[in-house]
Amino acid sequence: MAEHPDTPGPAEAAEPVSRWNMLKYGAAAGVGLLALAGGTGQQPAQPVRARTASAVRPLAVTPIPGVLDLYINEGYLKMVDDSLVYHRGFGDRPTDRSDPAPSLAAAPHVFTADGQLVKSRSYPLGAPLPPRGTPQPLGPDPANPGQYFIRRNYWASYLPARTIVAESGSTLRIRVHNRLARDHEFVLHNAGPDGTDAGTGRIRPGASATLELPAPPPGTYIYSDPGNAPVERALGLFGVLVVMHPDHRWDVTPGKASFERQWIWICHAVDPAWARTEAAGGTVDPARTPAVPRYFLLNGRSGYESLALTRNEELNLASEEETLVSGYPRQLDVRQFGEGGTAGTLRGGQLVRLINPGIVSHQIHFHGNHLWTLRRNNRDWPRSGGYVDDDGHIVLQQWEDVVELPQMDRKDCIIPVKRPPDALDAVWAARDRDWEYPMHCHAEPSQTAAGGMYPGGLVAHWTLKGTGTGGTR
Amino acid sequence: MTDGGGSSGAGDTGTETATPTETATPTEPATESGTGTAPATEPGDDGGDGELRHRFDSQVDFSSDQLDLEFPETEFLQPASTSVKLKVFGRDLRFDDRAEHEMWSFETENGERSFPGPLIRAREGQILHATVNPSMGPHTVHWHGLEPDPRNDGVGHTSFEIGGTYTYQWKPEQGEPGDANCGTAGTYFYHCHVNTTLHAQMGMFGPLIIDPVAHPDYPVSPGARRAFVDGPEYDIDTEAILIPYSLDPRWHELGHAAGLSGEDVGLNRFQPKHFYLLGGELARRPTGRERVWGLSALRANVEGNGRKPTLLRVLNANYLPNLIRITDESGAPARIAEVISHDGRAYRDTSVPGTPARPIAEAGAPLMTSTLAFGAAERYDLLLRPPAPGRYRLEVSWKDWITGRVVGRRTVTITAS
Repeated sequence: MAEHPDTPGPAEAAEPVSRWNMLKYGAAAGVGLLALAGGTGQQPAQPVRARTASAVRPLAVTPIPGVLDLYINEGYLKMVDDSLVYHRGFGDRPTDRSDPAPSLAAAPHVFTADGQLVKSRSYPLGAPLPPRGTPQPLGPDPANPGQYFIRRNYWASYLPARTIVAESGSTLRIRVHNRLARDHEFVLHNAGPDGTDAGTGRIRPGASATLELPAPPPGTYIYSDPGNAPVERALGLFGVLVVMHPDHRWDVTPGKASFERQWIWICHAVDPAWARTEAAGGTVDPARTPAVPRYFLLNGRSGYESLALTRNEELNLASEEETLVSGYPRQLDVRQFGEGGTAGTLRGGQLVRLINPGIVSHQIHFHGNHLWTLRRNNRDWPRSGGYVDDDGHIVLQQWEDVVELPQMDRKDCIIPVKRPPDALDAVWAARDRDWEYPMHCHAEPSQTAAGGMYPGGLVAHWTLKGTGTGGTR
Repeated sequence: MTDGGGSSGAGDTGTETATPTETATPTEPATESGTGTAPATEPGDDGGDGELRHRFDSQVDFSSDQLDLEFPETEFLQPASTSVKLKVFGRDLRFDDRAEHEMWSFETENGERSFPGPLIRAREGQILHATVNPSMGPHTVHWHGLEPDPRNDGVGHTSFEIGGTYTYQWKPEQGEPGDANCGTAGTYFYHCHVNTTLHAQMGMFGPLIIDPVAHPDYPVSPGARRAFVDGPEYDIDTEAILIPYSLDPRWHELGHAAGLSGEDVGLNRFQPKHFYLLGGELARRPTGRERVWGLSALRANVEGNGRKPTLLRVLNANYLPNLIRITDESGAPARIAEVISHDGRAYRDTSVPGTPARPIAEAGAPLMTSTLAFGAAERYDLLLRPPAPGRYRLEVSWKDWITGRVVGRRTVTITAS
């Protein structure tokens, strides 16, 4: 498999797993281990050895060119309050349950149209990386003080973990290794012929299976283990496939909206009680034991970690690059996201792919700018005509400040990154710093962590840049 | 194509036989860092405001350490066309199911202590001032859907919480006929954005409406108003708002800062036991102290009765998905609602660049429906167009945010005349 030379790889722990590591981890986790019981006051279930006999657990296999290996692993992840919660996930290396850095979310990979598989944190391959995630403008827009000309077809976009990109014309080849004690499955939802699901079928413990299929039409897809739905998904067995046309790498689909860069936002909610049951060898019956999510994540982070306000600068940087939308203000015409009036410029915004493999229905609210919703579940919404569907949803491209995002839904939206319309002229003219605006889910229980700690849940902010680069005064 | 345990999964690809190795060492070496343009700011920078960006040791630190200012300054204060003063109150209020709940909300200087907070009505292109005097701890007012600068957006962690007094200032962007890129006329709400999960549920919200500018090409009939600058006229007398709100009594026993110090107060579990339809005709909100404004009935004008259609504004002020279903007297779906705008923006035909983006109905595709699905904090504006006099039922249901199961229902009668 090729490595893309311009992109950093994940900080993967190559350290062999040992009891010593587990002990180190336990000591470092401190309060976290005590919180394993999820706030119920019970003695935590220690992260003991996996139930699967090691003899049948696939270890790292020899890679095959063009084939993505995913390992169904288990382990404990630290939540935003330092609690450790049992998870499963599609990792990209084999790790055991006691691993201090379990591989539960594969690093981003790209299947290219010319048949390569490239491990890359960014796409398009070879495009310049936006500094700290922020695409830099071409220069000030002299006709519009405080605004900028935006580069078209230029900047790469960072991809969060769990993302697979496939270019149209490529063939996805994914080999899935079940390292756990029960059957599992890998399904790419709606990615098969005529929008059907495409999957490996059940994979027995210790077994492997390969899924091979042509890249589906450009769009946003979810992969998951649909077993005991939605339990395996809720435990972490999910991810995202984004399909791009190689000749239209900055367009949602060929001929449709162009964007400056894209952001992939993956929502997830964690129920430690479900996790505890499964970790102890039980099976959750979602009908008898309704989920009570206690942590709410965006691209795997919550609260101050998602907002890049920690003292861990590596974590902050990753969140800025992958999640925290940022850009320079520009003129925009919602009737046409495409070529600007100056050669090489874009009259358009940034694409936010809202994706919900989680188990709660989210309400994604942006402050500062309305979003323009283009499509839902890879179906383009029309710009004329339109209708109210049988479920009571309006099918027409539209502005929204709250975007409904039910479970398994994907919505593609343009954030214009424009001057906030209701700021006074005098305030705008005097702007001498970045303006930050929140994004949060308005189904407000999702704004908590461990039953409180607002805003500790599915939250982000976005930044209207403009400091010191001219044109803001 | 599942392979046997421990054997290769590659046989089907025909490219190579892979045998599991004995090592857990990652097979992919880490790559070098990127070669893009150098970062504009260094880690720990603020992004340009000259001060080191705040960092926190933990989520608890962040939750419990928001900037609280006594008397922040309103920058570039300018004369306002509309000024309101808001105070905060807490009171036990009785609802239409005779249940009493401790509520916190906003009130004007008249001290009515009613719920929801007072209707604030402003006009496009005109400056609004809202002076807020919190009590019972710091609060803010976020003008949901309006988009001013961050200081006037009313969010603690991107600006400040208010301990003493602050005057919010904003100017709703003016609409232009046929322009989908501007204009703010529509339905909004305001709410406290401190410990929002709790404070909004406690009742700290109120309706907010932006009226359009008058445009010479779009005159307005007596007794009518336009929904947006080139939008349809509606009848002022029967204009109404419908606000689904559900209430979990357990939450109403909590204190201002519940959960912010890291204690588990169960704010991830919203289990409403009461379901209410707030609002009513805007011209007839009951006055008097400590009243809950509940919606018990609606009227709708029939075409040809000499009046413009009735505008029903819908605001989801709770945390669950809602569904509206309108039926006639026989129980059959009645497609009498025309959806004209959403979240303060008109539905328009934007299909032809360079030509006016006409309102979608004017472009020949009115969004008629008997059903509307909408989640937390969304707003929709509906023109009611009953074809003949009669009675209709409007049912609102609340759905669980995980299972989708209906957990509550309320209905009101629409009398068309």
